Amino acid sequence: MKRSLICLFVLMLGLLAELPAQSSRIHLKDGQIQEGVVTSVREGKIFWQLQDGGATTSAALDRISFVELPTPSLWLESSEAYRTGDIAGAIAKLEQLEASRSSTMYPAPGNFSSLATWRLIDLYRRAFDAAAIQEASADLNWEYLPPTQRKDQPLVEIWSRIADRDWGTALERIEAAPELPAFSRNALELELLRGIALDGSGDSEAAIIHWGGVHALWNGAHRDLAAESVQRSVQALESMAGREREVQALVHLYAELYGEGTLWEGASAQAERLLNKSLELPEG
Amino acid sequence: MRLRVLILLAAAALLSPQGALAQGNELAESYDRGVTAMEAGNYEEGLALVDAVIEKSAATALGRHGPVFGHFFYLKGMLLIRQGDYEAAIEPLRVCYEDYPSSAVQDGQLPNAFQIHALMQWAGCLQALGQYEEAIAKYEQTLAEDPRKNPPINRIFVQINIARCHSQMGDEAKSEEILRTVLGSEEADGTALQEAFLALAADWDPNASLQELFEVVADTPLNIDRSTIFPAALTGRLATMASRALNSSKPLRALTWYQMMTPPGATVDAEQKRLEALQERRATVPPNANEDAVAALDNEISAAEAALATAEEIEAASLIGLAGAHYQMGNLAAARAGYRTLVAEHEDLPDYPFFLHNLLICTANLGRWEEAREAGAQFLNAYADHELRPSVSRVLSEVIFVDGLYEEALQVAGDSREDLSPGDPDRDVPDFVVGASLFQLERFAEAQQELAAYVENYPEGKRLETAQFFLATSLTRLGRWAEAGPIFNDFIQVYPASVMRATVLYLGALSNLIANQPDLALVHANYLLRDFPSDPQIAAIHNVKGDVLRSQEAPVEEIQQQYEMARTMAVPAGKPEVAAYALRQLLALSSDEQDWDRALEIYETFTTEHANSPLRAETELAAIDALVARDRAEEARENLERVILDTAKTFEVGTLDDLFRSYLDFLVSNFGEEEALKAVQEFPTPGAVPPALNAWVSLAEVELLEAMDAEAEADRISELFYRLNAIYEESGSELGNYPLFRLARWNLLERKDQAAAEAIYDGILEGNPSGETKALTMIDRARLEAESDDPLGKDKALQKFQQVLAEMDDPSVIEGAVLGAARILTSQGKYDKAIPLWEQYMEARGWNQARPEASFRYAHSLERSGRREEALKGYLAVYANFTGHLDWSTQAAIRAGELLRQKDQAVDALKVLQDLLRRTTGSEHPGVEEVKKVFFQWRDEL
Repeated sequence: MKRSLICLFVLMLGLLAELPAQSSRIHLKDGQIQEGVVTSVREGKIFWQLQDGGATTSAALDRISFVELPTPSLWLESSEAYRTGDIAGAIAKLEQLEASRSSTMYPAPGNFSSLATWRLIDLYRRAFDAAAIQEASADLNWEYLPPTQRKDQPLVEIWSRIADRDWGTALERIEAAPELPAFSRNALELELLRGIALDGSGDSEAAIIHWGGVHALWNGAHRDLAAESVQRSVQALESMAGREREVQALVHLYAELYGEGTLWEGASAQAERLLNKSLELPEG
Repeated sequence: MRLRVLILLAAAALLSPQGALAQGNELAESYDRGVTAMEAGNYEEGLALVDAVIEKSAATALGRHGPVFGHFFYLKGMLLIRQGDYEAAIEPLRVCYEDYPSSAVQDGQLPNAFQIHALMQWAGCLQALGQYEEAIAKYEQTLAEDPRKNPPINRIFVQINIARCHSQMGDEAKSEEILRTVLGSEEADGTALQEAFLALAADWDPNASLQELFEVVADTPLNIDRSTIFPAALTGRLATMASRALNSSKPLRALTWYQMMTPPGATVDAEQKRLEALQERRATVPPNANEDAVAALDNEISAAEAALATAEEIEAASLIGLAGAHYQMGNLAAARAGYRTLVAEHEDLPDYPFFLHNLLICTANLGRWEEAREAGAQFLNAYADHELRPSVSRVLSEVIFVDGLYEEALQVAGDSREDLSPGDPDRDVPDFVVGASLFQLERFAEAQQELAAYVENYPEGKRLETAQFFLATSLTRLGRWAEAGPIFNDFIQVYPASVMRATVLYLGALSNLIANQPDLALVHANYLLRDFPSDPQIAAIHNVKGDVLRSQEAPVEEIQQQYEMARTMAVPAGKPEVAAYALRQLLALSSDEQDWDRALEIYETFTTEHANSPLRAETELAAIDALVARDRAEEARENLERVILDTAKTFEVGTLDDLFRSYLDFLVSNFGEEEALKAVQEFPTPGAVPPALNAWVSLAEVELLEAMDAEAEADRISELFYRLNAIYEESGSELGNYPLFRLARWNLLERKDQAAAEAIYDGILEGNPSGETKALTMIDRARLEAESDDPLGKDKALQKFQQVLAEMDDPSVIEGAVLGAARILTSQGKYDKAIPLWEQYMEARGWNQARPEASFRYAHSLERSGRREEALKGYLAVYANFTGHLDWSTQAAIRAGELLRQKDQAVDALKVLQDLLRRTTGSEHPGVEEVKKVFFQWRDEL
């Protein structure tokens, strides 16, 4: 124990040496915001020098809500890549950012190393990649993220349980998840996850019901979630007898609204056949 | 909608150039006040300000202030536009554009920053007034003259408006060309693209193919900020297009528009929050606050309330549309989500009952029975008189049925069909639910009637497959195997892929076996064995197949093999009753073969492995011959007495009937009548004697005494029947059917108490009897019905007779049924149906209850069917063979004479009557008197 503490201390000293000497905004939990250059983190406190070469002041870590540190260029670059749809590029930049822990990591909310991990997880969530989410979140200390990002923790933990195919725990976590604002992405994602966990635990009928809610009411708000819910509904319904009409409706829905006329990669032959079959609707 | 575009443009342009006039003079101040008044919606106030400035300064303004003075005319034009007075707005806009050109600016003066804007708004006014050609010219002039200076005009919007003008003039192609150019323009920002897209869509959407629509949606660079969501301000237009698509039954097109909308609920949330914030501000306004500011705030609150109301309307309409679109597509889970939200959040809407109804339909189709039941119950509680009530009741009854609440389902379905006639398509499901619920409640007689009516009334019924299955199964439970068999046979042909096929094959095989159709039974059994080798009933079907082969007298080894297989498969499958039956049949088989040692070996196995089996009694009976053959008759007797006692205690009265009758046969065969009588009189009954056994002990003595000397023992027999009657009166429902049947007959024939007899007969039939006793009871009961005053009595009686004939083939039992049915059919004039029955009767040599009558009625039926030659022979045979049966022979002679006279054989006719009179000399039978009278009449006519 003693040795590990020493190592941590040394590591922190090393990190602090690299802290950028640019102004930051320190958000305290009591609502105060102070501006200054963060100089060190030690003894459970953050120290910063007030603007214009003012005095150095400090606050205990448990009083800090989060710190807005100077934005690293890699973060901006990844944001731009993400904005333009270059997900691979965004991931690469974020991984670089994560790797440069020496200059971006420090044990307080707002550090860009933790933020980079969070954003990586966010990208994996948008790719519905449970294994990647689990792996990326394994070492993430949620306390080092600002409150807004910290709200994602329950969902990320559910994704991790889903990666383990631990459906029971996943469902327990879903039930225990804090109430989310209606129409928010997280609320919709939670419904998607509920469907996945139910499907995994064998209750595909219930899963389809929840996925139906995901793509029925807010399909325009979060199209990727809607598309995923349609795809999963099709895959679950395909193995059920007497549900072909529903499958046909869903494959047409997917292709026309989300797939630019086609289904997802790896769609079954039955799904393709039903897509090619005219939907029995008045307009033909 | 066009007006909104214009206003949007105007507002954007007016706000920015105030600095151009901000030279610290009064004019600038007036201008600012005019703009503020317009923004606050105080147009009259703004116009008064502007007009005052124009009146005072316009004459010399260009020289004194330069082109910048044109801003007042522009502001006046915009105020008039805001008031909706486009015609009046044109003049100040024209003045701004033509009289205050920026080109006239002199040193120290400012240019007219709104000159080109005035031209654009002038075009807008022309467009609003429907002068599209002129508007296009002005818009194009605007684009041509646009100096591209600040404040800029939105050239994209100008193009969109040009396109809209072309569209209004009917030139859709030109409009589309312009809008597609806009959509491909790199200059267009997200808002402009969305406007252009909506303008385009509004024009060609209704006529464009769905594919084309998707291509445009996909190709258009609408993905600004990675989202295709249109702002809340535009959702109304999208909702309108979606609604239009939905009304044309184009759900996928509707969903295309819906998916571009900001979630309507989110808009409602945002508007709600905005209103709450304003109301909070209003609540904190101090009493002495500026009145204008308070009024402005109140206006803002009113506007926010209106916006919220609009958002709520759009939300509700969109939810209705979304749910409806998914429902039309067949996407039930999504439709359910929509209707569920509507039900949860929009109880105030007039269409609320429809939401409940549709939620019920979706959830019922998804198998979410509890949810469906809630929706249905909520509907029925709140909208008892609604037009959809019958529909809800119908669906709800089936939902409740599937949920396993059969009593409740029966009630709801019964209510829902009250006002509908049988065969009405709306009664289809309720009729099924009533029948199926009765089936599940094991009220098989009622279920059979309901389901038979369903099958007849709904040849294309929605639940025909299940109804046929329940109907046939009900018949098996009523012991009406012969009627069940054909239904199962048809089922297998009509529903080859039915999920019930395995069960149907099993029950079909069983029904056909019992109904004496072994070939069909074998076909079903073989299908089951071939197609469903893992079915839980596979062991039992080997028993059925063994029974079939046995009835077909197949080689013993083949039969044994089936029973052995049944036994082998039953044990691991946890079906001891199947194994016990196989052993019992193997025992019977060995006894048939007189392989007594093998039979006793099987018997020992049975008693070891299945000591408590329900088949114990039957097996004891099957073992009697083997035990007797090996000099173990006493053991057999003890075994039988023990089994009889056990059976009586368990109230297995049906088995007790068979058992006691077999016991009597056994005693008489092996010990003689005297010994049997003694055994019955001294039957060992330790402890309290169950009534069923007590009744049988009395009846057994009756049967033995009747066989020995009924006349001599009449008093004792009567005494025993009175004792039986006393037992019946004390514990009637616990007695076996055969003792009850004998008691009923005794009441009918000896005590002449028809009512008492009928009560006992009906009690037997209500108890779902089987076998010979059932047939005899039905025949007796039918005879009474046929003779009753009930107008439907004959029909009821005929039904019972025919049921007996369908189920029984034992000649000693069915004589009464053939006779009864033939009599009724003849009396009803249904001679074609009666003739085969009379023929059957006459061909059965052992039937003697009514041979003369049968012969006469046969001839009569032939005559009435036009078969006169055959009838004549029949009549002649009656009077010749049954002369002494004067009721029939005299009538037969007269009818034979009539037929001969019709053939111009009047003399032969007289000879027939004369012959009969000669044979019946001395008789005073009224028939003979009638023959005499006819004879003399005919003789006189010669």
